[in-house]
Amino acid sequence: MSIIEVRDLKKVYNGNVVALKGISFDVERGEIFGFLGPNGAGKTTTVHILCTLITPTSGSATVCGFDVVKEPDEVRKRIGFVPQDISVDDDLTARENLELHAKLYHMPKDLRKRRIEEVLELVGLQERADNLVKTFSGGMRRRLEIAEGLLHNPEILFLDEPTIGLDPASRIVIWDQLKEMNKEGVTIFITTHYMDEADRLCDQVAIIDLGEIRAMGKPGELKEEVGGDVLFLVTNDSNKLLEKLLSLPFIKDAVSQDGTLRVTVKSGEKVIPLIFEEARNLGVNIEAVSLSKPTLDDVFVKYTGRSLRDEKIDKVERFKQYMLMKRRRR
Amino acid sequence: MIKEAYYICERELRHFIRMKIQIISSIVTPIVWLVFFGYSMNIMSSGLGGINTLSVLIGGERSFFLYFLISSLKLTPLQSLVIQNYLGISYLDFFYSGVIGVTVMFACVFSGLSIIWDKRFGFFNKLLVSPIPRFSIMLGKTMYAMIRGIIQGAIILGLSFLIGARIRTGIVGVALALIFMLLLSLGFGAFSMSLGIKLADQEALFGIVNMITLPLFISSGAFMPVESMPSWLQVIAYGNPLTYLVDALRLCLLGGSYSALGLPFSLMDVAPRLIRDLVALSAFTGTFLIIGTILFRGSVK
Ligand SMILES: Nc1ncnc2c1ncn2[C@@H]1O[C@H](COP(=O)(O)OP(=O)(O)O)[C@@H](O)[C@H]1O
Ligand SMILES: [Mg+2]
Repeated sequence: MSIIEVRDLKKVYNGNVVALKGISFDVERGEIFGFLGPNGAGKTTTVHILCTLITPTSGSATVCGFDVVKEPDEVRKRIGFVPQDISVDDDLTARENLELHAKLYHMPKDLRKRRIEEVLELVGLQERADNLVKTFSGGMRRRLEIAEGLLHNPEILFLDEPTIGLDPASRIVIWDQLKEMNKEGVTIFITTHYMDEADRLCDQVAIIDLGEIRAMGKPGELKEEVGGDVLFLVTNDSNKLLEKLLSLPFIKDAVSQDGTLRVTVKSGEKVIPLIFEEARNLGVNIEAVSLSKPTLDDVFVKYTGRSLRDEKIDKVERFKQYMLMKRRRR
Repeated sequence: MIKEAYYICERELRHFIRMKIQIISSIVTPIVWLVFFGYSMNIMSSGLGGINTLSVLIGGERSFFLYFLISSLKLTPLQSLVIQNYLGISYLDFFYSGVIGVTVMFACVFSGLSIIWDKRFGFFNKLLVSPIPRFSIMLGKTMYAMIRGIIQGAIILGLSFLIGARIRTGIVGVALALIFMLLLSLGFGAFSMSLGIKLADQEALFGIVNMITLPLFISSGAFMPVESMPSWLQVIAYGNPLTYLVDALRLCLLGGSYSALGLPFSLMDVAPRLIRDLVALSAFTGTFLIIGTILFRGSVK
């Protein structure tokens, strides 16, 4: 049985805002499942339903085999939740935050102590454990938030846009940590609007837009569907090579543009050596080659007619405002 | 449920001890009142006289407390001094129970802010995702209000004593006074929680609380006896929970002072009026505990 089973899930806010139009998907145990979509797509709504914070208007969802509406307490015991907005307590130290969390999950004292050390180490915050969270950077807060989500050994960890607004280095740290915990057996459900995040991190991706799932599959497969990799070749005799390439089965398409060959193939890395071999046989010299891979953004464009990139600035801006507001607290 | 509530309460207490300025101001403000009002009124009544609001406590036959305005008796400064010394009750003695009551109120009426903060910054959601009984959240936060109310009240009681206010009943009276403080702390805590659950931003709670605390404060009898107030103000006073706390504190802490008149009054003799205060405070506290519970249950599913 899948760890998450969602069937025809609908959510309408206040009787008129349709956030989810009836989505269905499964998440398998042990995988990293990504929910990729722009602002307002319905990602947070989905996570909140799965984490028992809100109830769906119709449809059903089970997490770890328990219905999120009928048996919320069973679900709660088994999940970890890292919300979109950082919510660790600024006025406590990192350790105190974790202590409180562990107590709320009824962890016995010795287990609590041990586990807190473990998660602090996992997210690399041992040295700052006894500092007030106030003094932490955005990335550190996120990591503490993740540590908290993991503390009680959940079967599945939900993360709602965990790298939003972070610098590239901090994002990579978080990706590595998520992969690490996934290796230890935690299923991960992550929402994001960063296509590279979904691409590099996830085993399985669902593309969601305006409350509907538009495409679902492994990132590689999804990208293949848009057409495949593109190779650019600079040679001393492009016409001769072009003729040959067009006759090869693993070449989807090839054209000559101003003397440069533009070749569409399924998997660029595998095909490059084969093309070099053919060229050598023909006596053609390849002077330069470059490989361009389709991104999940291309997939997004294919299914929605819009680009994910347009959303970025807006989100970062919102995060900055949020951090400002948070500083003013107390 | 109680255990989880305690964890939530513990977090609030940690916040409190980290808010140094808040702790200092919550102690300094009442002391300023005690010293400025308590002492200046004393000096004026004994030395200069003629202060209209000066009052003394005298036990009456029917009501256990009859508050007189000395000016209404047209006493000379000397006479007023004599009566005061004879009764052994200074304005400071009269006033400190009022300051304790007001301190308890201010310690609790803003506690609902924490629920608004938590809702705004997602901490509330994190509590809701955890497998704790929902109600323990509200219980824990109200528990914190109660603890804070009684601690601050007790500190002011101790300090009043140190600066010369008299406690005339002894340990039983003090214990009773603490119980009354606890009761109204719980009530004001639940009241503030009810607001916190309903309101979306902290300014709204500040606004509402500021709007009501001033009238509650003035009409409570902390500064002057309710009996000496204009009748329209008395109506407000008797609908004000703080009035009953201040009254109960005076009865508990000064109850025995009537024997100074040679009258056989003690804590036992003021019991009927203490019971009246107890009933009034319980009604207030109970009402807001129920309202808070209903609102809370309605807001989290
Ligand atoms: N509490 C709410 N009340 C009304 N509308 C909401 C609420 N939360 C979200 N929405 C709306 O539902 C849609 C999906 O929102 P959300 O799930 O937050 O998207 P995402 O997380 O993908 O950005 C948006 O149109 C948003 O405005
Ligand atoms: Mg969102």
